[in-house]
Amino acid sequence: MKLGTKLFCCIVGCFSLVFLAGGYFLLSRFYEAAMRREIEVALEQYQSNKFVLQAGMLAWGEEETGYEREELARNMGGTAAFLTPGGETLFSQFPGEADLTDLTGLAREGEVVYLFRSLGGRTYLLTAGLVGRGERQICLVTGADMERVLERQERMRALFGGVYGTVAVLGALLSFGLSAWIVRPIRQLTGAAREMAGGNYGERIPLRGGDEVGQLAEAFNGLARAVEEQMEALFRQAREKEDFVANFAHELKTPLTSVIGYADRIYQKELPRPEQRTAARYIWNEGMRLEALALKLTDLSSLERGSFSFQTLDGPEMIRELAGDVSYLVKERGAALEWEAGPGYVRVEYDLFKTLFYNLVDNALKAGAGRIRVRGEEKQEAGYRISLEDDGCGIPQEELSRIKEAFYMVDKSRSRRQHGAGIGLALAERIALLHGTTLEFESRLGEGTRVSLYLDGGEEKS
Amino acid sequence: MKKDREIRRGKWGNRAALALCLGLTLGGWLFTRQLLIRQEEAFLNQEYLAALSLPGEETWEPIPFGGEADQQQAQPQREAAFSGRELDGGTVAEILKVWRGGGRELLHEPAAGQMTMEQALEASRRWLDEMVRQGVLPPEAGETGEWQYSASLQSLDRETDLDRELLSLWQVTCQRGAERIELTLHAVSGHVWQAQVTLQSSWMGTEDFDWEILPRVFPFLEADEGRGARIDETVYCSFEKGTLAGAFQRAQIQIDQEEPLYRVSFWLLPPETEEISVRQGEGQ
Repeated sequence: MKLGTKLFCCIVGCFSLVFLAGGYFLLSRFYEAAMRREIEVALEQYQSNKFVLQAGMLAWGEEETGYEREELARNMGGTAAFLTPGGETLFSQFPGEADLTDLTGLAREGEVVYLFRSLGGRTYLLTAGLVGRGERQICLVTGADMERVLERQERMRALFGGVYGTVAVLGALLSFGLSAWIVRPIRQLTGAAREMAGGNYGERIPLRGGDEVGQLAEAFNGLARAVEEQMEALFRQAREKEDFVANFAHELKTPLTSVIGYADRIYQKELPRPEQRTAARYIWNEGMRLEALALKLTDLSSLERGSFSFQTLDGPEMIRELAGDVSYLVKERGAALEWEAGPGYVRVEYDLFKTLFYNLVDNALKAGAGRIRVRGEEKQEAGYRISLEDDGCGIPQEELSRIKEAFYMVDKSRSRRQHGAGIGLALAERIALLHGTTLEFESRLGEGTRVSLYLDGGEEKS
Repeated sequence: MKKDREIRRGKWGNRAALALCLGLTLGGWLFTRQLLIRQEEAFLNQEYLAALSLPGEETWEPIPFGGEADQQQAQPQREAAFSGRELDGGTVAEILKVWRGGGRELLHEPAAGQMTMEQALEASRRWLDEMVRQGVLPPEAGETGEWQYSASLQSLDRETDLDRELLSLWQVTCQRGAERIELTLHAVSGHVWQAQVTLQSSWMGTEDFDWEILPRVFPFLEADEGRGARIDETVYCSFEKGTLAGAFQRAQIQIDQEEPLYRVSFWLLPPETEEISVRQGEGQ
């Protein structure tokens, strides 16, 4: 059952219940009060009539005539009848063949009995009592026509029914509008959810009011925002993966083409030894490049899956060790590495950070650096800054934004000659991100490049 | 298919709920109406017994419908001889103050210690005869056999410190054509406290009375010596050491071309009323 229907039924049901209960209470109290009032009036009238009858009986003496009774009854209020205690009717103003004899059995002197009875098609409030003088007793019956009262009561009931019906219809219309108004934002929410399910992640619900529905709309908008961002990140990742695969396939295809070409040449022809050496050298070069590529991909892959344990190390100590680890590589390339580090602590995953450091040094050497300077210094709020500066060929400004992309190479031919695959900086950047930082590059073409990163400091060595 | 079934079930659920709601709305009204009609029928079908005694002492008992009503007829009660209870001036003044304060007047049956109608009528006749004998009223007033009598016993529906039965007054009316005598008798003491006599007798218009007539009208009270006064058309007299006052007024009533009627009125009132200020020695 729809919420709008539930609301409508509840509102109308509750309203009807309350209205009917209240109406019943009011009408029944009103009726009782009205009847009590009629009874009081009838009893007063009976008493007045009784005094009239008593005075008449005192004046009549032993026996009275019918005329005298009629004359007396004319001085009374309401409709009157005189009966003997035995039930014989002496005089009656009541219509038709009204049988009042049973009242004589109920009537007592000093007390009055009253009841309602239908006589001649009309309802009367009858009051009866015995009026005596000496041995003579007369049962006085006085009647008040209640038809007007009962008709008024019926009109009240009809009026109440009419009012109830009108109010019920109006209430139903109001309830319908109210429930539609309450349910509308929920419908909007449903529509927005369906839009999202259909792929439109930009759908939002306008916020109105701070009630529960408004809060739900706000929460939905937050959810939609998060989903949209997540979807964009997933799309981006998917695109990156596609690009990665495409680049990877291209980087794989290029050396394989050379390998296959030269291998086929060796296979197909009898080449002179110098040509064989040349072909073999190409095959070896490309093979080395493919091996470097495989190694870097392995490292990248481990970053995706690995769980890492960070430790707090003494900054200068760590830099000293790293410089020592890469010294052979630097010497092999005919370059020099200097380092200096101020006091401070860093929180790193050492093996990963070593890989990062190695890739930065390797990159600098591939750029033709003769001197590499490593510096470490505590930078207050920013953390421990480690920078690596070289005097290589530099990077054009317009290339700086792309150098951290996987497989991107500023100078492809130079990189390939040095067995580069264009993944080193992408890997270093990924490691930097794992450490909660990023690589910042500053470079001047022909002068060199400086790369910096900020690491979280630790208070003590772990 | 499952979704279609759910949609169809939802629609039928809506319709059922709306039908139920409509049924409750209509049925609720019919049920309420029936309850009201039944209440009316139950009320109309009962028989009730009431004792019309003094106001505030009524008893109301519903008799079981068609049940065991007492079939034995009540024995006619013998009227006890009425002795009357004398009241001091202060009590009379208090009773008069209560009546002057107004309230809802209720008719009731004589209670114990109060005079019956027959006794009230008899006392009225005796008073008239006495007034004729005293020369206060003309002889026509004493022709009691020719008057038509009516009487009613009334009390006030008011809270008061006085005993309830002391508030009751008999209003006795004697009518003879255009002539009329209205007497107010106290139901417990049996005395006439107020009288208004309207007669055609010119005797009523010629006799001159001063305040000394009032002790004769109210012989049950002790008049204060020399304490009477005439203010405008009303004559006053002090009783019971100033706790009560009596008043007398005379007027002529002319209705169109008919014979004039003469009215004399006597009444008691508490002395603090603003209409009088009785000064000792300031008689007529």
